[in-house]
Amino acid sequence: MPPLTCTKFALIIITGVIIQIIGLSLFVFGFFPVKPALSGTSGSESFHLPVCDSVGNRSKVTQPPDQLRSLYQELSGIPPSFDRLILMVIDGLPAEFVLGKDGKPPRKQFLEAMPYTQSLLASGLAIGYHAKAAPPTVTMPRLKAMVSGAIGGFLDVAFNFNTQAMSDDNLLGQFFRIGWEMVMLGDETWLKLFPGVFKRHDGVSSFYVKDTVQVDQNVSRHLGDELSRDDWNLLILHYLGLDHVGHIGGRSSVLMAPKLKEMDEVVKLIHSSTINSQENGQGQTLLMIVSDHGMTENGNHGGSSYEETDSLALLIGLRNHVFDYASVVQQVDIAPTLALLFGVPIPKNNVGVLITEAFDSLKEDERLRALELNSWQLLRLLQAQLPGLPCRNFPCDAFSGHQSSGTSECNHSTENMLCCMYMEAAALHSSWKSKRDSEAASQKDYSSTAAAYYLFLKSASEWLSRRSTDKPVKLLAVGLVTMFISCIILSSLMFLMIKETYLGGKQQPSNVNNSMNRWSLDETFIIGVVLVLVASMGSSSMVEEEHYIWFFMISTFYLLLLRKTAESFAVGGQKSLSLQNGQGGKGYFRIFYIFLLLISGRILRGWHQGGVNWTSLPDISKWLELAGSQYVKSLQLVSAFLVITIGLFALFSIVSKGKLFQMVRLSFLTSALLVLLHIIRYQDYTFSSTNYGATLLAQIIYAILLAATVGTVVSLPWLIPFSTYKIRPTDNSALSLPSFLSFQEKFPFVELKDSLYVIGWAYIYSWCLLQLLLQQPINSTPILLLLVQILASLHYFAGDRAHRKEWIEIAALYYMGMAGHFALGNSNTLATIDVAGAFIGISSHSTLLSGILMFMITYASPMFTLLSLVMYISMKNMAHFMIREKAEAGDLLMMMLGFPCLVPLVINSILLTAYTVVLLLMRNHLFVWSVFSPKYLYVCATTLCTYIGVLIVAATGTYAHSVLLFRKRKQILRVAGSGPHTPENRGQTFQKRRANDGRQGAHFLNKGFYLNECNRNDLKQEESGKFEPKQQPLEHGNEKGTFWTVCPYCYYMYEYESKYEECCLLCQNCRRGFQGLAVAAPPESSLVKEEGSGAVCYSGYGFFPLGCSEDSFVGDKKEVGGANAGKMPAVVEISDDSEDDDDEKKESDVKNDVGKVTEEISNNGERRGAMKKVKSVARTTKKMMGRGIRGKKIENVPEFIEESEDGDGNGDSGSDGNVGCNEEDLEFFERADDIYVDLKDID
Amino acid sequence: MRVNTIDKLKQSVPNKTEKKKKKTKKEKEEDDSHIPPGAVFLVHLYSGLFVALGYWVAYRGYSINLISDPANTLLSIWVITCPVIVCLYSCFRHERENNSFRRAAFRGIISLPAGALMNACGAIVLGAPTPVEYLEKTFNWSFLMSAFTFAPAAAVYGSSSNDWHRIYGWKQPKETIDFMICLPAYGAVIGAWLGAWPMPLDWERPWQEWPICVTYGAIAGYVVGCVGSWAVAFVRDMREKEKEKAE
Repeated sequence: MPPLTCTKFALIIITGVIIQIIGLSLFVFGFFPVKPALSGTSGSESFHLPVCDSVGNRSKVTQPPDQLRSLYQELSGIPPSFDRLILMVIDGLPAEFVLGKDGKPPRKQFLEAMPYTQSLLASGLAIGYHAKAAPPTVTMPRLKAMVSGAIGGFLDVAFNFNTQAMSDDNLLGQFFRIGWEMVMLGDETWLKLFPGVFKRHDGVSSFYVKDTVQVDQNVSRHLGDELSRDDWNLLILHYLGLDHVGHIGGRSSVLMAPKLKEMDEVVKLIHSSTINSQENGQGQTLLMIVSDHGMTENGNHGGSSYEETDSLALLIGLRNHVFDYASVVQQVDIAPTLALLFGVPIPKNNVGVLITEAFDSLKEDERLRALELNSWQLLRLLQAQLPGLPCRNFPCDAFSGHQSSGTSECNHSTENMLCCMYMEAAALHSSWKSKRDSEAASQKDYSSTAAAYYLFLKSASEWLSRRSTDKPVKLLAVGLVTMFISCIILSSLMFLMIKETYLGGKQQPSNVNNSMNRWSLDETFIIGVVLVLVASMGSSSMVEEEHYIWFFMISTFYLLLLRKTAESFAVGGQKSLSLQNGQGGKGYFRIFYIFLLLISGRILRGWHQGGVNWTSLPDISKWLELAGSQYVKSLQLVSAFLVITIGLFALFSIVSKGKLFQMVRLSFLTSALLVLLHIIRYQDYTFSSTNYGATLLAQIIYAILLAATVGTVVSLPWLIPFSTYKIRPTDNSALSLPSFLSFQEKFPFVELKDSLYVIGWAYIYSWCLLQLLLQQPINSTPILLLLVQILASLHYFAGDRAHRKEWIEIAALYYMGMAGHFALGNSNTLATIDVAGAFIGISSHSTLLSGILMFMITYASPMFTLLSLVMYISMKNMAHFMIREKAEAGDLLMMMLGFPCLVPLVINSILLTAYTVVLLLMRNHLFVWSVFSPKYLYVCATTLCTYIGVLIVAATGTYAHSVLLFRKRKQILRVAGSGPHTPENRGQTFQKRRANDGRQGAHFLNKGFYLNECNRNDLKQEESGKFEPKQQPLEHGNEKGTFWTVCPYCYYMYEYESKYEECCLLCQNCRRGFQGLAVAAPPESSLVKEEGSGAVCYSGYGFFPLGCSEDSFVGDKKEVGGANAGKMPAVVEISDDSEDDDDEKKESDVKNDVGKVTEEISNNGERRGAMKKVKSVARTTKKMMGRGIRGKKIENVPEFIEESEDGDGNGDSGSDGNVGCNEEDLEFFERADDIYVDLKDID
Repeated sequence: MRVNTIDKLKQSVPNKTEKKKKKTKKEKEEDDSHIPPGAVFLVHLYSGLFVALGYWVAYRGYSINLISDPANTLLSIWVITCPVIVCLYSCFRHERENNSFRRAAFRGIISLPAGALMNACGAIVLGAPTPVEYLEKTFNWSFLMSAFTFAPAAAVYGSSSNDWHRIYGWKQPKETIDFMICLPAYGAVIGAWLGAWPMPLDWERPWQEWPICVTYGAIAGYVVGCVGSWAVAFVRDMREKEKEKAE
C-alpha cells in the first residue's frame, strides 16, 4: 500500500466533503421542497382569463371597499347567496367524531354527544366533509391553509417561526379589502396572524393546556351578544377546549363527550339565531364548522397519520342535500369555496377546488362560472410554477369561438395533460354557452362541461399540492447514497491514517507499540458514544432530550479519564521515588484538570434545563433570573472579567518583545475593555440595546477583533523569530532523535508549533470576547466555564504521558463542544434560537448579517472547540508520529493537521448520514414535522459549522506552514551560501530550562518538542552592571573555541571548551553521562531580555503559565535572576530558590534575595566575578537536592562525577541549571545546597 | 485459624443462616485462599436476601416502597444490608494473623461513608439532581451503593492500596475473593449507569424519578455481578479439582 502523502490526503478529504455537500443538498431539496409562491393579492384581474394580461393590469388602483365590492360582484357573475359568515373552528376535532369512518356513522357515544348537529346532518340542512389536512398538523399552518388555500412546505414553517403575521394572499385580507367587519373570539393565533383586521376580538391563550373549561367559556360568553348584533359580516369562533381535552386524556377521555356536547350546544345556539335573523330579514348567514386538524388516540397531533389529518368541514345553511358520511375534500378546498360563495377573488396561491355541493342552489351558468373562475386561478398558479406551460399562448378570445380540436394533443407530459384538460373544459364551456344562447343546451352538455372542469381542477390541484408535500424518492435516494459514499470515504481515510500512524512503524520500540496497539477503554467508549447517538436518534423523545446523552456521555468519559489517571498515578507513585522525579506533581495536576472538567461540566449541565419535557424543572439560570437581574448582571460582569483576565494573562505571558506582539496585545486589550464597557453600559437585562451608541460600540468591537485576529494569523508566521537548531545526534539509544534533528533541520517544526500556539490563543480569545458580547447575559458564565473546560482538557491532553491516541482526544473535544452547545440553552427545537442577539451591532436590517450572528450565537460552543484545535495542535506532543526517512514538507503538515481535520468531519458525517436514514424512515412518523425535521435542520447547521471550523484550522495550519517553510528554505540557502562558518559557539552561557515532565528519557521527541522556556544568564559586566549589546560577547565567544552541546536526556545545553568535544560528559542537571557532540549554539534571535532581572530567556511561545509546566504554579520561582554579560566573564553563582531561609543564614556570601544579582568580588586575585543567585525549580528538587559537602572545591574536573544525596525528601533546595563553560576556567564549589560555578577571568 | 474465624463470626452474627454457612465452609474449605463456589453462592444469596428483606421491611412495616418513598425505603434497605455485607465479607479478610474479625468489620463500617461520598459525587457529576429535596434520596442511595461497592473491599483488604488497585484498576484480579468483590461492584456501578438511561424519556412513569430506576439498575447489576462471580468461582473450582485429579 503506498503511503499517504499530504496532497493525496487533502484531495481525498476535499472530495469526500464535496460529495457530502452534494448529497446533503440533494436530500434537503428533495425532502423540504421550496415551491415558488406568487406574491401579491388577487384583484379584479382574477375574473378574467389569466393570459390576457392587458385586462389584469388595469385595476392596479386601490379602490374604496364599497366600490371594490360591487366591482367584484359585477365581474364575478355569481350572485352572493349569503351575507354573513360564521366560521366556527373547533381545534383538534377529528371528523370521525361527527361523520364516522369509512362511510359508517360515528360511534354511539359521539352520536349521542352531538344530537343537534347529527339531526342537522340527517335532515340535510348541513353537509359534512372529511377535510384532509396536510402536515404539519398544528394549528397555525392549518389556519393559514384554510384561509389561503395554499399548502406551505416545512421550510415555510421553519423559517417563519418568528414572523407571524400572514402576508400571503388570503380570504380575510380579501374580506377586509371589500370592507367587511370582522369579529374574532377564541384562539389568539388569529390575532397574531391577522393583526389589525378585526373590529372586535377576545383572544384566549392556547398555552394553558390543562384548562379545558375556561378557555371555551371565554369564547362563548360573547356569543349571545354578538349573534344579536348585525354589525359584522364575519364572525370567527375558535374553540380550543377539545384540543386540550385530547392533550390531557386522548380521544377516549371522559371529558370528550361533555366537550362535544358543549360544542353541540353552541352549534344549536348559532343555528337557531341564524334562522331567526333570516326570518327578521337580516340576510342569509352561512355557518361553517371546521376543525384545523385531528388527533391521535393519545390526543397528540403534528404528524401525517390519518387520525391527525382527518379534520372536519361542515356547512350549515345550505339546503337539500343527500347526506353522505364518506365524502372527502381537502382542507384547502375551503378557501376557494368561501371566496366564490362570497364573491371575492380566490387567493392567489390557492390549490383547492371548490366544493360542488355548496353551489347546488345556483343556476347552471353560475356554477360553470364558479368552476371557470377556480380554473383560471389554478391556471395562473400553474403558469407560475411551470413556465413552459403550453397553453400560455391560449388566445384571449378562446371561449368566444371555435370548437375543441379534440384530445389528440393530450400526450402524457404533465404540462400538456393539464393544459389539454383545461382547453377541453374551456371549449365545452364555450360551446355550452353558445348552445344556451340558442336555447339548445341540454342537461347533458352541462354535466359534461362541469365534469371536464372538475377533471382539470382535480388534477391541477393534486399536482400542485403534491409538489409541496410529496418527496421525490429518486432524489432522496441519490442524496442518501451520495452521503453514504462520502461517509465511507472519510471513515476509511481515517482508518488508513490510524493504521499508518499507530501501527505502521515496525521500528518503534516494542513497548511503545504495545501501548499503541492496545484497544483501550477510551476508544471503545468514544466509538460507543457515536453508536449510542445513532441509536438514540430513532426515538423522538431521545431526540428531544438529546442533551442528556451528551452530558451523560461526556461526564462518563471524564470519569474514565479520572480512573485512568488515578491508576497511572498510583502506579507511578510507587516508582516515583526511584525513577521519576516530579511525577507526583504532574499527576496531581492532571487529576486537578479532570476535576476542573467534571465540576465545570456539571455546572454547565445544570445551567439550562433544556429539551422539551423537563424544561419546567428548576435550573441555575431560572434561579438567577428569579433572584433578580442585578445578580445576573454582576455574575455576567465577573465572568466577563475572568475571561478577559485569563486571555490577557495568556497573551502577556508569551515572552516576546516584537512590535507585532505589542500590537496584538494592545488590540485585544482594547477590544476586551470595549466589550466590558458594552456589557456595563448597554447590555441591560431588558435587552434594549438598540440605540446608536451600543450599535456603534459593537461595530467597533467587531472591527478590532477581526483586525487583530486576521492580523495575527497573517503576519505571525512571517515575523516569528527563527531558532536555528543544528543539533547532531548524540545518543544512539534515542531512536527518534536523529530523525527529529534532521527533521528540524529541514522543516520549521518548533516555529510552526509556536506560531500556531499564538494563533490558537488569538482565535480562542476573540471568539470568547465575541460571545460575551453576543450571548444573553445569563450565558456569560457558561462561556467562562467552556473556556475553562477547553483549557483544562487541552492541558490535560498535552501533558499526557501515555501515548493516548490523538483521535480520541479530538473526538472528546468535539463531544465537549456538542455538550456545551446544549449548555448554552440550545435544544433541538427551533424555539430556543436566540434571535435577540442577532441584531447587536447591526444598524440596518440585513438578513445575511443577522443570520451569521445567529449562527455564531447558536453554534458558539462547537465552533469554540473546533477553533481550539489550532491550539491543540501546537500543544500536543506529536512524538508517536512516525517521521519517514525521506520526510517531505507535506508530511509534517499532514502529521499535524491530519487528525484535527479528519476526526470532526468523520464524526459529523457518520451522524449526518445516520440521521438522514432515520429521517427517511420516520417520514410518516407522528413527529416528523415537530421533532425530526427541526433536528435535521440542526444537524445540517452542525455540518456547516464543522466545515467552517475545519476549514479555518486547515487554512491556518497550511498558511503558517507554507510561510515558515518558505522562510526556512531561504535561510538554509543563505547559510549554505555563507559557508561553513555558521554563527554558533557564542561566548555566552546558555541555560535551558524546561519543565521536567517526568517522562522517562530516551524519547527526544516526547520531550524536546515542548521545550518551552530557556533561561539564559547573560554575563554581566561586573563594574558597571549594565548590559552590553549582545553581539559583542557573542563574537568574543566565537574566538574562544568553545562548543555547545546538549544533554539528550534533559536538553540542558552546555558550552564547553573545544577540547572536550566528543568526550563523555556528565550532565549537571540530570546526572547522566552523555557524549559531548557539538550542536548549534542557541540562536540569538530567540533570546529575549527579561526586564528587571536582566536574565535572558529563550522563549518558546508554547509556554504559558497555565500550560504544560507546573513551574508557573509554584509561584515566582520562574523568574530568574540574571547575571550579566560582559567582556570579562565573571563568577556566576547559581543557587537555589528562596524558600529555604536557613540557606541564607548559612551562606554568608549570598546576601541577596531571590532573583537579584549579587556581585561579588572573589578574593582570588585572578578572579573577579559576579556571583549570582538563580532560583531553581521545584520540580527537580527530589532528585537534585543535594546537600553536599560544604565548601568542597573541585579543581579542573572535566566531568562532574561526585554524587549528591538523592532524595533526602525535604525537597527544599535544588541546584539544577548549572552552567558549564570553559571548563578550565571553572571552579566548582559545592556547598550545603548549591553548586557554585566560578568562572575564571577569561583573559 | 478457621475455627477462630468462625467463632468470631458466631459471636458477632448470632444468626442461624451463618451457622449453615459455617458448616458449608467447614466441609469445603481447606486452604485459606481457596473459597468454594458454595460459599460464594451463599454469601451472595445472603446479601441478596437481605436486600430483599430491607425492601420487605419497608413495604410491610412502614407500607412504603421505592416509588412512594424512595428515601426511606433506601434507608431501610441499606441499614439492613450493610451490617450483613460487612460481616459476611469480613470472614474473608486478608492477613488474618494481623486482623481480627472485629477490626475488619470496623474497617468495613468506616469505609461506608467514604464510599458513599465517592458514589454521591460520581452520581452528581453524572447529573443527579442537586436541589435540597433530592439530597436525602441521594444520601441513602449512595450508602446503598457504598455497601455494594466499597464496604466489601474495605472489609477484606483494609487500606492496602495494592489490593484496591488490583481489583478496581482492572489489573487482573487473581483470587476468587477478588472476583467476589469486584464483579458485583462493577455490576452495581454499570447497572446504575445503565439504569439512568430511561430517566429523561417522556414516558411519565413514576419510576423514572431519581434515584428509583438507578437503584433498580444497580440492584439488577449487582445480582448479575453476583451470578458472574459465582460462575467464576465455580469454574475455578472445577479447574482446581481437575488439576488435583491430574496430579
